[in-house]
Amino acid sequence: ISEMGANQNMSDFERLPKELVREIIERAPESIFNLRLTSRVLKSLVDDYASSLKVKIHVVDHLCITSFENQSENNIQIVAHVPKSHADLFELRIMLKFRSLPFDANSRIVRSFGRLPDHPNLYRLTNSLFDDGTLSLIDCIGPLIRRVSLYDYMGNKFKEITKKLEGFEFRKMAVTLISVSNNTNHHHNGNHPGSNTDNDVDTLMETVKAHNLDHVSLSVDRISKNVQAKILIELSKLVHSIFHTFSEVSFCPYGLVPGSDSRDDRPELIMDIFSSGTFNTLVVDNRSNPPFLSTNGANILKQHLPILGKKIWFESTCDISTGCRKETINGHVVEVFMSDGKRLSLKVKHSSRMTESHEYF
Amino acid sequence: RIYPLMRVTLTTSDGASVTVSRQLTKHSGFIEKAITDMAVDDNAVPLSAVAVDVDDATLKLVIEWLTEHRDDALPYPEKTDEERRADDIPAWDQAFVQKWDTKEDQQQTLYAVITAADKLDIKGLLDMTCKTLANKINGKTVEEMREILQLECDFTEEELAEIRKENAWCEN
Repeated sequence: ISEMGANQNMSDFERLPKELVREIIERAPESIFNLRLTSRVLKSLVDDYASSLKVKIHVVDHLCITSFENQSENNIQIVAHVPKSHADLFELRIMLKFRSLPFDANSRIVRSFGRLPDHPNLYRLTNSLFDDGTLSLIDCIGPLIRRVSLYDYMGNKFKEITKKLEGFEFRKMAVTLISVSNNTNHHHNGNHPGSNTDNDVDTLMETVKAHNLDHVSLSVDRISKNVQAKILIELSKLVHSIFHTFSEVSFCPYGLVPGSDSRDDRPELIMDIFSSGTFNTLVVDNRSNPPFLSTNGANILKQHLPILGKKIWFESTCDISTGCRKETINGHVVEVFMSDGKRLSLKVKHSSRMTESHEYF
Repeated sequence: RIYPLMRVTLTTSDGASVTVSRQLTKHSGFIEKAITDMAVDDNAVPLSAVAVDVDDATLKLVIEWLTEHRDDALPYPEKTDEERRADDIPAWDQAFVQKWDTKEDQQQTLYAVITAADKLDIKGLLDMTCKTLANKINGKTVEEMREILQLECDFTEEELAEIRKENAWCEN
């Protein structure tokens, strides 16, 4: 920077090493717009700080990527949730980044400024799936994100949207898929909208491994029973906690029949899941389905989960005949309760974890 | 393993020598690395002197701060985003800075201590002094910032108008 060469006119503050000025700017984030107006050197340092993706703060709290079809066109929508404390920095970063693009990216981004002081700002960009314009918003995020949500409403674009996450560090991820089955012979090789395949399960596991995730929330409308078991077992070897929501178990020849014994292998599955390394949290929610656990299954887990030697949080729907009781076993509160006014749920939760909520993710 | 009675001699950039306890120097990544690089037995006393690129007056302030913070936990905790606030400077630190950060001094000593904390890799002191300077500019107008930081406005009116336009876009 030529003006920095003529440093006999620079103030002592401007002469501080660039890294130290950054340290100070980082502690005065609400002052960056005024600092840009003070002098050429300061403007240059502030813009350099804002543009730098080495800033070790979570500028974006939550990144959502959605694939969807609109008028026969494959689209992707990216929404970045930016806390108020970092909004100025993100705004400046967007302005500096977008003004260098060959197209008017500013007009393509929708900015939603929260009305409440503690409400995050939202930045939404919708593009054709393979339009590089989406990258410009992603390029403004920096390496650290607290949590990521992926929604594959196309049903066959999961791999594409996970590619957008390359280079980011985050520990919590939520994935929403329409359906998952091991249907390699499914219609159109599973590539028609609405059906994810084994390949997507592999992609999910690769993404979890690549980012060394702690937590996965998996929401699926339809899932086959054997794939569900496979996913839960594999995920439990990689993460500490899973929230799993599904509507319907299907696509299996010996499918789930309400009231049958086909759920009685679930206690064994759940005990296997909790036996994995440091895994300690599984919350299963299937409100529109027959309960996840039979009465027999719930009674087995009530006895065995608290004595596994871990501080466990397990929760799932169970049969109405399980009965409502609350007791403490080996430091765990074991409770069968009415979860939504209609369904019973079994909860086994260590007393030290009672403050953790479903908003944990 | 740090021996509390073990002492280290530091030679300053202006030729002075100061001898301090290892209890204090353990908070300086630079000095600890220098001692490690000497590859001496921890029982070897005295150690060779460690040269620091800090003047005597500034080093005395650094040592005063280290003496107060000798029992602080190490390593210095990484701050989360929420903890990166500038309004949580401990009372002793505030009083310590107020003794020498006078209006007449025009931040000369503060800049020197910030630079020394950076060179000696004393994270707690760097964090506190950067917060002190950030607090001086937080919430200030452009003119007030220029006065505090002794900055000359070297923009043309057109350049200022352009920056204001950019800022206005950012501030929606």
